Amino acid sequence: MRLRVLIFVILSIGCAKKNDYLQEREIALVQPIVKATSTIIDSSVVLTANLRMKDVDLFYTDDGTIPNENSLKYSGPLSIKKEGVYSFKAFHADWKPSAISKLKLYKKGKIPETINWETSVSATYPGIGDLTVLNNKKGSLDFRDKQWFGYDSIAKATVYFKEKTLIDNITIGYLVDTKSWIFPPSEVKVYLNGEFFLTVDFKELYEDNIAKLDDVEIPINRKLNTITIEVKNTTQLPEWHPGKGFKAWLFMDEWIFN
Amino acid sequence: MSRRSFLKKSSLATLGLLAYPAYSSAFELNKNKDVIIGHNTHRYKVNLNWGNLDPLKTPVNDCHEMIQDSKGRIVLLTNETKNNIIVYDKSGKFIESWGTEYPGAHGLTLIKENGTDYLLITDYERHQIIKTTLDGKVVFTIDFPEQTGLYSNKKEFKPTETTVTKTGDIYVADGYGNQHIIHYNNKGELINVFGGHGEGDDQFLNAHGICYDDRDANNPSLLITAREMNQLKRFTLDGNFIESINVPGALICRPVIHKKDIYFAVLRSKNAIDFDSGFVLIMNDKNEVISCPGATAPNYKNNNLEELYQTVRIFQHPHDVCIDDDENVYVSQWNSGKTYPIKLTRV
Repeated sequence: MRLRVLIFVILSIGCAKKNDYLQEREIALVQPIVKATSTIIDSSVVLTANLRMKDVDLFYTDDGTIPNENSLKYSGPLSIKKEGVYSFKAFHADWKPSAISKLKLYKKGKIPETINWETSVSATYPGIGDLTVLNNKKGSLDFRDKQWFGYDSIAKATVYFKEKTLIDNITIGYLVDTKSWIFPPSEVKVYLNGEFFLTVDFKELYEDNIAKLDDVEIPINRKLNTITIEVKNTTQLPEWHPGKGFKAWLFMDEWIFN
Repeated sequence: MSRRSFLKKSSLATLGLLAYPAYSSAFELNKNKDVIIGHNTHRYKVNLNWGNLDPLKTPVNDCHEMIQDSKGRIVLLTNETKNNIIVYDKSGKFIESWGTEYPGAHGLTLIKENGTDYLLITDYERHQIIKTTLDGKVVFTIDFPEQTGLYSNKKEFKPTETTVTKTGDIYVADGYGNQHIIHYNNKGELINVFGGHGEGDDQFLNAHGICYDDRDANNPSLLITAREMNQLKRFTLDGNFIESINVPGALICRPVIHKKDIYFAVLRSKNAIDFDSGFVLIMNDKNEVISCPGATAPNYKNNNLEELYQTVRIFQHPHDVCIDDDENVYVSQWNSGKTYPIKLTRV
């Protein structure tokens, strides 16, 4: 009993100094800012990552895996020739590691000779015109960026290649910015040389606000002259959203034909 | 007891047996480090527990602004209509609360008249400015400035902030409305209107905050934030544009002058991936940024400030700062999970 009392007294003294202040290991670093001179690779692009804070180290992977302190260490701008997902994470001896910053780099595709839009782009978000989705320039997270081609209904166009061309896949890049009522497509239909080929349905549901660049890659693996792509917006915003029941915007930046 | 403080105390208890007293030179009591944020002369420890109250009894919604009154008490304005005003002492102890009729409570300014404190509350949902005593009695209200001819109805007027000069003139920033700055004399009579929506030098995108700057007693002026433009603009008292001070990347809310420095809550970092990416920004008497608690160290290259952004995930959406007579900073936040203010203790 006496021992218990002694331990209690010592523990009480140990606890006496109350510290209300936040501790470093409780707080995470901000994810690094990752930029590329272009996210579509023709020959090579330069990739930079940064978190301007003393004693921070950045590590990265080029295969989509989560970086750790055994991954490649970032020490300066990278010359990148290979497409893929580049993931960066910040580490510091005293702070919790950051979340992951991901940047997807695309291989430059085959450029169609012409594109014929069957539906009209929004007058407010016309991008740089009919060729916005074929100009090899990706949009940013800012929906006002001129690389975004905005629709509030169905976007439908046919692209024409000069000669019969083997297309392995099509990548359609789009913006998700739920606060700004910009959601992924609800459906994509593809027609090859005028014939219906396939429909892609989108099942991704967001339960909270999110802003990101995303894409859908559609396998084709056919030789063809024309492709018609019909992309439908989300027609009803979800229950949790302030605009529930109203239609969403659809913002696309690039159609890449590989 | 919160889960976090329970864990902290448990770990101390485990170490306590060995640590006190004979082993204290061999073992550190607590190997954790207190967070210290900020740069140069303005660095702070962070207290997230300050001012926490029972949300069932004294809830907050957005914590919009704070001031310290002449008695040294910290006064918080929230748009929670169960208690729009919460009064604390500096230790964070609750003193009193009042106010149930300010759904758009946004701006809070302290006025001292003949030794008595008054408050000016801007309410963008009521489209009014309300002067009250410190215990909540309404002295007068200012309605939308119809006589300017710039407003077709009161709903266009969504004031966010006021400031009061030494002579008692009142300036109102219509930061969520038509972006005008409206000048009244101390009787509440309209004197002038300037600013307005636009990207010109003398215009604003989100004229969110305003303050009377008499640090140069011979040349008092007005400092007004253009939050979306990441700029602080200076005007003469009669509404002529003087200069813009760029703060790249920082959505500054209102300027708060304390001694010779200007303090700002930064709502968010312009280009951050996360929306909740705010921090605090401090300028010296030359209007140079000297410290950014929670963000990148300020760095000037060829007299241009490098873009600022959040570096550690402490703040969500800081909306105002209040600096007390001990140089500590209280940070009230918008859209941050109905959390109470954060206290930064100067080190």
